[in-house]
Amino acid sequence: MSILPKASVLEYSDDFNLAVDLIKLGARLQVLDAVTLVSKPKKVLIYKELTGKSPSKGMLPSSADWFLSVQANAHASAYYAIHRSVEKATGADDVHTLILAYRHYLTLIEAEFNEKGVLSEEPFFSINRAWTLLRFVKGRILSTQSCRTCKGDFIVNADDINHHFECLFCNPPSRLSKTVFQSKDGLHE
Amino acid sequence: MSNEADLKMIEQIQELNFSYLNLAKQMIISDKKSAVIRLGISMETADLIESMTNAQLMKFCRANQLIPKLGHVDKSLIKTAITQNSDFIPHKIHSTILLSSAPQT
Repeated sequence: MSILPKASVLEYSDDFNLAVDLIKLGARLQVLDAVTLVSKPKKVLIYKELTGKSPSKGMLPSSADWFLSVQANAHASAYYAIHRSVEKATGADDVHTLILAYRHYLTLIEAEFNEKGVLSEEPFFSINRAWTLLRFVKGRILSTQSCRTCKGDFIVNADDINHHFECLFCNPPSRLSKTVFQSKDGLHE
Repeated sequence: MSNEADLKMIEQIQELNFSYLNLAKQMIISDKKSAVIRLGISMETADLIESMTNAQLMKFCRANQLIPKLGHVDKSLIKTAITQNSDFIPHKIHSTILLSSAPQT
């Protein structure tokens, strides 16, 4: 998407709406910077108006290893599976795919929105994590592999591909306990 | 099974087929992209269903078999639901992963 500073009103409006949608879904500045061309001051204004807070500064956490930890792997793999479905359905893989897939993921975890349409609380697997995951996969740092038991596709290290892979559901790590999957992931009563 | 019970079952199958296709059509009309994902069908199939009239839907439902089928992926899903491992882990996530990777019709 390349919009020149003097874009048409419609193009600018689309971009603006995109920023609004993303902020409602919990996007941080770094993600907004990457996918929209709305100016920084405007982004901060939209953010404050929607969330009542200033956007947090600083870089997103950028560790690929996080996606391999037990709870994160489950959510990341679920998000990625949904993302692939959306990609197949729409034939596109862009920010709109990210948004639609993330919305579907949110219905899975029964996330709630406030009266402004903004996420009530930051989910365990945020849209920022989703965006980072997609970059890691595109950058071939992370990849997917099929579990040999259930045949589902799970996120793995790109250079860890082996033929005996079993996912965390079919072969949970021995130290797994009830406390690992905390209620914060929106799936426990 | 007696013939009467058999006929009753076939009637139920056809009712379910109709409910399913009606729901599918409603989902498609309301939000085609989301419907395609949730139904596990292609855009083309969605377009076809959307274009069916009620009469055509009813004709299509008069099979003696269920239109919404358990696909091959569901064997894995059922197995994971009954293994011990699934006590601590939210099954909903696993089923999403398995159902989303199924090939589309």
